Amino acid sequence: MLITPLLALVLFLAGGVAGILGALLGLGGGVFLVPFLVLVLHQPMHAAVGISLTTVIATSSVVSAGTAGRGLMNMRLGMTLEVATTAGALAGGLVATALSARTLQGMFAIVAAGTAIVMLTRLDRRNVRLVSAGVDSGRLGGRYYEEESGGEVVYSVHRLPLGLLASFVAGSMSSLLGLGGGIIKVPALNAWCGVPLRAAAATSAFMIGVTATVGASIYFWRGQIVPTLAAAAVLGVLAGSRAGFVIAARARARWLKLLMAVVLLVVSALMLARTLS
Amino acid sequence: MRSAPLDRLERVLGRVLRIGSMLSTSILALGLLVALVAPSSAAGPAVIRAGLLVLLATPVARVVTSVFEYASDRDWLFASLTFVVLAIVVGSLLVGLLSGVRS
Repeated sequence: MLITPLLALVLFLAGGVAGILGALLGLGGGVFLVPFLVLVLHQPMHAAVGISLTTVIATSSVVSAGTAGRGLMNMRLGMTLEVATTAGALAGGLVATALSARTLQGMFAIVAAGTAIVMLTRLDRRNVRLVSAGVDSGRLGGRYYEEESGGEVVYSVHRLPLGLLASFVAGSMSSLLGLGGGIIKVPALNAWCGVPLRAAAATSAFMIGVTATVGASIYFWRGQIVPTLAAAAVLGVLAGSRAGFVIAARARARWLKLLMAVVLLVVSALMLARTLS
Repeated sequence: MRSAPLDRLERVLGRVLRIGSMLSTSILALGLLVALVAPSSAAGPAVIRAGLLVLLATPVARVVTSVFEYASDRDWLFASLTFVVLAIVVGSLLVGLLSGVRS
């Protein structure tokens, strides 16, 4: 496919917006980029998913390189859940090759809407389990310094099987729909496993790289990733996520969730319209 | 308390991810530039494909590093878990290659 400077610029800018939103929401930006590629640039759904996955990998690598050493991401929990996310991604990748674009678009609309509803119902929930500093956080738990409250947040991980199940589903959604999977993991880890939102987001951002690699390598070797479009999208998303990451450090959890829900509802409606047309 | 090996692991993995992402984005930017300057040449997409390969290899390198780091710490549970992840990634590579050849 020939790429014009205008098309490259458009995709770079769209990637930039997706990157900002992705960094703010801990989603990797795919939830925004896939509909843009399909609805605006009229790319086939499978190509859009493949391109989106390459941006998810890039975002994960850059964001995790930046947060490494700050203690916010929970490496042990992440590496445990990665077994489930990558297994899900492999299963999803195998299924995706057999599904039609229409089916995948319909699934995308449902997942986006479902997540928006989950977020809206949990807007005012107090999520952080504050445990006194002397309490053991357990083998999978973690602790980090929170600037807003000026204190150390200590948490332990509850209901690991539920976390693994959500991770498997998130992994398969990654390969099927071109998402990072944070869309499912972050709320699940937060609500079911007791992981604070910020730690859940950082840990999810760490995991989505290798998870998206599973799906992306399937699309890549099948020749479904258009190189020039992927390059423009990746560079745009990285520029955007750099900007978004700066904003995210100062943003409030409630505002993040509200923004996430609104974005998802709009995206869902557009993809549903596309599926039914 | 966070243990010292854990902090070290995080720094080492952070470095792997930083080098990989800088390398891949540089190659992707170069390839995109070539593709824009010479749209009819196959050189641009070829360079970008190389950049995408480095991009895909970066998280894999991170997992490989994790396996070795946990093994050297004699943390066999986490060495095994990360090894399983590595095996799944290699499996996806084979699935892609095999289905790509057939289609």
